[in-house]
Amino acid sequence: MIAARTTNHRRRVAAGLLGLIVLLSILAPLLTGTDPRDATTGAELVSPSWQHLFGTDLLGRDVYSRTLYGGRRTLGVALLTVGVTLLPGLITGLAAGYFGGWIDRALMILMDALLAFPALLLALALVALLGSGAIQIALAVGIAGIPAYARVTRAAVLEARTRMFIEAARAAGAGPAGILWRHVLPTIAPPLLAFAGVMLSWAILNSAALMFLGYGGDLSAPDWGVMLADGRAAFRTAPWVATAPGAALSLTVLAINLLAGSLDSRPGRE
Amino acid sequence: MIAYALQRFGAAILVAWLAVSLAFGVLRWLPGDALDATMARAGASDAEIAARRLALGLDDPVWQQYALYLADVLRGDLGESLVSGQPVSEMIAQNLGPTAALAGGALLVAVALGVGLGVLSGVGRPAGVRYAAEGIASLALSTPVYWTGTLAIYLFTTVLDVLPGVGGRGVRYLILPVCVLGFHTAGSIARVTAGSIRAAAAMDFIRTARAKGLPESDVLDHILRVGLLPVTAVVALQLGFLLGGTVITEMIFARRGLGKVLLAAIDTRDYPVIQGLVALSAVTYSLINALADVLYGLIDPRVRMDR
Amino acid sequence: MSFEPIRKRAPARLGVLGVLMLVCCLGMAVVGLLALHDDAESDEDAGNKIVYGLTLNPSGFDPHIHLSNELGIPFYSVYDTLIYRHPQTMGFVPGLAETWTMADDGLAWTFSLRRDVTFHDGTRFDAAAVGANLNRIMDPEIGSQKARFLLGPYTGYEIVDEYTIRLSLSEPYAPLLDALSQVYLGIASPTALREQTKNSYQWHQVGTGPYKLVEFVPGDRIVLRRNEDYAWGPVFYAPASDQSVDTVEFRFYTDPPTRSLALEGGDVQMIGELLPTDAELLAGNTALRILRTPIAGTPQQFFINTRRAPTDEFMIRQALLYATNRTAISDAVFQGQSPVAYGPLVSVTPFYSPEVERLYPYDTGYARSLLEGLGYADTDADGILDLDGEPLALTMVFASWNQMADVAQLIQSQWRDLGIDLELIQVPDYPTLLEYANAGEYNLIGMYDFGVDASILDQFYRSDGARNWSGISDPELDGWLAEGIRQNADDARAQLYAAAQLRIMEQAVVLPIREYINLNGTSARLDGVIFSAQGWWPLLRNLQLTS
Repeated sequence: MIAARTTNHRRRVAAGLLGLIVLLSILAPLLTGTDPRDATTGAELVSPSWQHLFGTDLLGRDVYSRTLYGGRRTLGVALLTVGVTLLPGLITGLAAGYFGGWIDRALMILMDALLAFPALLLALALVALLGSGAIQIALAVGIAGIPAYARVTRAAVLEARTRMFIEAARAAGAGPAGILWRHVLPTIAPPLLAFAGVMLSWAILNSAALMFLGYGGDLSAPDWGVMLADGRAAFRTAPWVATAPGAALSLTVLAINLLAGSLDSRPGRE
Repeated sequence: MIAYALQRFGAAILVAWLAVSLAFGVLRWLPGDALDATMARAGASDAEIAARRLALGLDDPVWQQYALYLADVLRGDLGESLVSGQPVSEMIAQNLGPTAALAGGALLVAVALGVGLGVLSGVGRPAGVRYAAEGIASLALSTPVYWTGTLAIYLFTTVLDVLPGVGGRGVRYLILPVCVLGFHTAGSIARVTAGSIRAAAAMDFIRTARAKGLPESDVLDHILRVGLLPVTAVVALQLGFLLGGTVITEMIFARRGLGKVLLAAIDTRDYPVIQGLVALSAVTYSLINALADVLYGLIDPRVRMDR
Repeated sequence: MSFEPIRKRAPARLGVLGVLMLVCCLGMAVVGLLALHDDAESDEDAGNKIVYGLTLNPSGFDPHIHLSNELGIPFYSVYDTLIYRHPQTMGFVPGLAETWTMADDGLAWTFSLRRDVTFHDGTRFDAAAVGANLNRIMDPEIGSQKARFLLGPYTGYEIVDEYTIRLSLSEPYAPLLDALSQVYLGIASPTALREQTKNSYQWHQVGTGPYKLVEFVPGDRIVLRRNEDYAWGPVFYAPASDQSVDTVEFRFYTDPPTRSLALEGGDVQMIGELLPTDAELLAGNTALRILRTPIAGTPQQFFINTRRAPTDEFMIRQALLYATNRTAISDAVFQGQSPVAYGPLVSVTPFYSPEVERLYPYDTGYARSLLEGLGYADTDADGILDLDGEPLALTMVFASWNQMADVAQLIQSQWRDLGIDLELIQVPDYPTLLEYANAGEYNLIGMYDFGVDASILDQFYRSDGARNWSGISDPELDGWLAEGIRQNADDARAQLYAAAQLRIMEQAVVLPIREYINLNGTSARLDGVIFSAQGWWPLLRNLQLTS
């Protein structure tokens, strides 16, 4: 009982926090009149004040505005990343888990081979092939995430397969596509959704890492990873430049982790 | 047991071979003139490029190139940098030490901190301890290295002046980067540990033990024995993350190592170097995981039965 | 479940703890061994040792082949040059050549060489050694990026006797002595050149200079040891003393924020290119010294492409110059520590003409009127000016060095206020920049070069210049620049270069930003910190490590 209440409470707090961050990012143009790329001459490295809530950076840009707009880009790229991961990962996992046999073995060996590359290294190598840019980063990180998602999907399908009703449906003459769509997917949706949440926080951290390393293309576009890199250079003089995006990044990931954890808190599911 | 170990290592070698082949495939999938372009940027003349193409066998049939490549890899020959002409294996040998020290040290911190936090957040008392431990673990999970690194250097080097922040050699210089990289990794170990401990605590025999009036310290002992077992398997998995994490850690702390070599190779699009490094990490990672699985099997005989 | 599983798994306790301990012990052993190994390898018989932080890991370190200024920081002291420029007087003084004479027609120079010089590998230095170096530099197969161009109209040499060499030119060439004083024309051991390949020589360089290369681990360190036999240095080299530095280890700090930390932490005793914000912070630290070293040559600048629309339009180029607030850039990015640049040469360069300073004051109103005069207006109200439906969009390409990214973003912001859309493309290194330059895919491109002789302008502004990236083609300018290297009289050259500088700015083919100042930081224990006339290269010979 108590555990359930704590979980509910946590879920609400996490969802609220995440909702707030997303809302702030979406509504950025309404919440600030300052262009995040606009450098104001004479207002460089200004400490936080009413005029500049989070201060300004080395070039005189408003950190508050950049943090809000940065959320759009950071979260946008992360969502795209998860998109790149989800579909191929899901299809591979479903196919492997449902058909079993040699299909399963072949697919899983391929996934294991991909999984053998440390994800960030694989993403970096892909960026070297694809070039710099937000889309490229999403592709690179997304591809690096596929094997993990395929594995989790497969495990969930295997568990679902053992349940009676699928066997029953098959006996009733339903085709594989129909069974997967009507029976398997609904059963495995909760854990997969929870894992998609885990993937999202992973995607945010990793795509921001590539942004931080300078592979983001558009230089002046606000992004939490880019801002952390900018802020690092001036941290001793102006700690606020890195603190705002750093805190935003951590809070977002924290909220997603809590939410993903509570989505799937059936006992024994850790 | 030996059969299980052989089977596990066999699978690891298969995976490693696939990973290496994948790296080969991607490199060949590049438009052929990408290699020429990299060499031209590095100042090679047309004659040199042609000679290199010949040496790399780029004009041979693909299967022949592949066979040659595999033979080279088996001999430990990973090709040469297109930019400097240095053998990739030599570049790796020169930089492996510092990276291994960083990753090894970080793994140490991650295991110690992660298991500690995990146990505390699993069965810590009073509840405040549990929440605190859980909070720290969540924080660790949600603060990336490129953010904690900046903070740690500022706090421990600039403000407190107790630890050197960047560059240098030797143990003292390793402390901050190792802790920063280990901290983030500790988060996921703590998470798995806490879950496993909680599951163990909820097992029937623990309840029975409590009901029978076994001292609480003994009960805890039993919980830990059962609960920590799965954690050993997770630790090896974290190595993949650590290998990736060293890239950013080395950059922030101005350390030499494979991560720096990789970043430089990406900038100059020095494909053989990228290919060599990524393939090496894949092989290392899958072999270490196989080793961990076998060790785990030694401890817990059920594992090898299951598979 | 009963109690049984517990008893059954009794060995598990040992197992779990055992594995964890195994991991820990293994880790500890690896870390400890490697760290100890690291400690051990750095200090043995190093004597007076300093660590010098390099700020760039250029694509190559061979002075004959590569063009980075960074390579001269270690290697200026590994080589001697035939001629030196005195760092204070800027005049030419003997190096490996004791005397030199120019033929009356200016087409030949004869150098008599020192007879007491030995390379670090024991090879004797003589005229044939100089000849071997010249052969290598001119060999198209090695693809010299700078040294070959420094030699200008050089056509060949003749060995007059064992210690006399004559260089022939196809036309008179005033900058020859300046060229011969640069590290790119340092004289390498012919034996080493023969034994090493084109690629491998850079890691095994052998010269005659006051320091020998003893270790080169690419991307990690370059170690130099003092040359005990050195007795043929130029007049401004200090004699060796107890406080001379015996070992200099160069390490790389390519990531700018780490430089001040390394200096403060005592990990390096000398380092260049501190971030301006950090240089200000460190100025109050009595254990350190901050030196601001101006570098002669061209400023930090962007060439404006006259061969690509819309910057092929003269008035647009002018508008860009008026629209750029250089003072704001210097104040923000360089914390006011770097003077604004107005022309194609910086003010410390001989033959600099202050005439350029009155051109292109920051005047957005005038810039806007120029654009409106061409018909540009924001008809679709998107904030960007357009003409016949074409928005005023420009592309700027630059490499990631010297805070160019910050400069570019400020320019982008300043121009956007005027309705100009600027796309920024940052490339990682010079070779990639060169690719863009050759493809012509830019409206502005960032490139600069350093050198004391005003003929540094040739490569950029002669219509046949090797790096004429603005695409300027002005016969009169070509004439002045050509005459500038042919004339040996200083006052005549001054006039020619003054005219050239003014013309270049009038054509609006370059956007100068700021004069280059190297913000060096050193330990206060380090005395005798002097840089060569070229500004970049320290005279390691003169360093004194006090206790």
